[in-house]
Amino acid sequence: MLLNRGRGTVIAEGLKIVGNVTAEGPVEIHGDIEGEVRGTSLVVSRQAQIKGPLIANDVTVDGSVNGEIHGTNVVLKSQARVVGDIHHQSLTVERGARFDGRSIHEAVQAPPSPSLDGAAPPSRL
Amino acid sequence: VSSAISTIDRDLLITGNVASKGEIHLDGAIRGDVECVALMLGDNSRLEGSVVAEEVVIRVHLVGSVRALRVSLQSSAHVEGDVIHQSLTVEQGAFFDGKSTKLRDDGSSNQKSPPPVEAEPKPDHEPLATKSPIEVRSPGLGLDESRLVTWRR
Repeated sequence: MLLNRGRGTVIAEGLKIVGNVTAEGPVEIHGDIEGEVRGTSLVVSRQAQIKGPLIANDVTVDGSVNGEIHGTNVVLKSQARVVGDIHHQSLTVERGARFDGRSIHEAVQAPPSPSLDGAAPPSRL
Repeated sequence: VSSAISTIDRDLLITGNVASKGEIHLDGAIRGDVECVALMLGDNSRLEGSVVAEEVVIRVHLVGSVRALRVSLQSSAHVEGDVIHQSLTVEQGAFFDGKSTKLRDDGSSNQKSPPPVEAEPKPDHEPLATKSPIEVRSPGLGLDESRLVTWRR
C-alpha cells in the first residue's frame, strides 16, 4: 500500500503477532502486533493495531499505536491514532491524526538515551 | 475477512506467536508457534515452534511439530519434529527426523478406535479443501489432544 517495494516484510490484515519483531529492512504492518517492533523503516497502515513500542529510523503511522515511538523521522498520517510519547528528530502530524502523548525532540548530537538502545543512531546530517 | 498474504522477509525475526487468517510466506525467522491457513517456508526461513495450518510447504529448516491437512517436504527440507497430517509428501532428499501421524478423514488419529465402515482409506490426493476449514481461535497452540477438536467434522 504505502511502501511496497517488492522486497521487505508485509504483515497482512488478519495476522496477529504476540511477541517481538526485529527487522533490518522495511516492514509494512496491516495486522495486529502486541509487542515491540524494531526496524529501519516501519509503516503502520490504516487497519493495523500495535500495542507496544515502535523503534525505527523512519516511522509512518496511519493506524493505531498504543505505545512509545522512537524514530528519527516520524510521520502521523490523517488516520493515525497514537497513544504514547513520540521521541523523534523530526515529527510530522497530518490533519486528522490523533496523538495523545508527549512529543520529545531528541537533539541530533546528543548521545542516545538509554531507552533507545542505539536503535536510532545519530546518523543523517 | 481479508485473506491477504503476509510476507516475512529474511531480515525479520519474530519472537513470539503468530496467528493469521491468511497465508504466510516466511523467509525470515520465527521463534514461536504459528497458526494460519497456509504457510510457505522459503529458502532462508527458520522456524522454531509448532505449526497448525491447512497447508504447509517446507523447503528449509524447521524444528518443531507441524499439524496440517496437507504437508509437503520439498527436497531441501530439514524437519526435526512430528508431522500430523492427512496428506504428506516427502520429496527425495528431504531430511525428516520425527514421527509422521496420518489423521483419518474424520480428523482423528490412527490410535483411535476403528473407523466407521464408510471411512474407506482414500488416496492422498483427494480434494481435502472441501472439508470445513480449521478454526483459528485461541492464541495458545499446544499440541495436546484437545487440539484435535479443531479437526473434527
